[in-house]
Amino acid sequence: MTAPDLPRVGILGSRMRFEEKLIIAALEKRRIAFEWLDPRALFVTAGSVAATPGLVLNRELGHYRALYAASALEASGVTVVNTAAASTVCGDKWRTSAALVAAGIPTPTTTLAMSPDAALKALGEIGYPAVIKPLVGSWGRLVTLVRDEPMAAAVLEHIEALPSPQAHIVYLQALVPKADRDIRVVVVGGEPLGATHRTNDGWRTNVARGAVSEVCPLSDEIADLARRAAAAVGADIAGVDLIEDEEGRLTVLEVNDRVEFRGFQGAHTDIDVADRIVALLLARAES
Amino acid sequence: MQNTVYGAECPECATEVQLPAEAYAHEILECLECRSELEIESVLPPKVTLAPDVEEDWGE
Repeated sequence: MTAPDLPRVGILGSRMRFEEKLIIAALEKRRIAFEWLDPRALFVTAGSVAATPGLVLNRELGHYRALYAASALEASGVTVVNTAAASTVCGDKWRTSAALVAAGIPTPTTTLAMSPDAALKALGEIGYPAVIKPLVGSWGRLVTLVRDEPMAAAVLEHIEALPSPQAHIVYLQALVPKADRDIRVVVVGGEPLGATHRTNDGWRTNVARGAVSEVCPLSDEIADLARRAAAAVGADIAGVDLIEDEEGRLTVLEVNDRVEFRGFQGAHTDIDVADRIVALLLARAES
Repeated sequence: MQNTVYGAECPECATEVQLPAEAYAHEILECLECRSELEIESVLPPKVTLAPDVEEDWGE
């Protein structure tokens, strides 16, 4: 039975993963009615009254579909968590870097080159090794470590051959030494819930690439940076990735707006991430 | 071991695919016969379709 005074919640997603099952279980536990919204079947007319619940949690896997579904639902008066504005920033590595820098949050030195030729010149100034990343993408895909100029020139020739004009805008980052592990902080409603170390044999540490998550003590500094990074990109629910350099200085790599927390939840059996997300949704509904 | 109570037909090899008792629509399964990745389209009635390929912009 559903409690009559509780809101109806929409979950926007095309794939039912571990995280979505936990969120549904948390909704059921609190007796909150929900509706699964598959964006592959969704269309919205701007200015119309949406047929969906008035509060939607965005869990869509595809960046563009997540972004435009959020924007379209908002145009019909729906409250979407995270907002389309937050997804716009988080889903684009350059916008994220710019937001972090503007907020005075330490982040690796990042350069945006407007063509592959300009990228090669920029790399001459940045020095090697450096990292070339796609502006949009997750799970470490197409992130390329370039160790010297001939290698960079070859990678940039491949980039030049890509059909998308956006692919020719090249995001470059200095490689942070000692990147064998990174730190993931899950932030919900401005509160860092905890942190994990993610370790991998390779130089990328995404759980999707097989990285192992272990509990990382949530120091005041880590918590403060994570909180500020989530606020800088406007994300109510955020997975903030940080890294520690050789001198022990923390820098924020990226902020994920539709956070996967399977590794985090496995390490933190004392934290119920899904229930915290549901609590945030309830707070949003009440406000 | 999970109880499997519902059978659906794999669209690739026509083998009967068992859905776990606690299955949800939009979960991904693998056909044990042909190894195709399948998406549960509905639990009742049990129906699976070929899962979409991973797209470039998928992820967190």
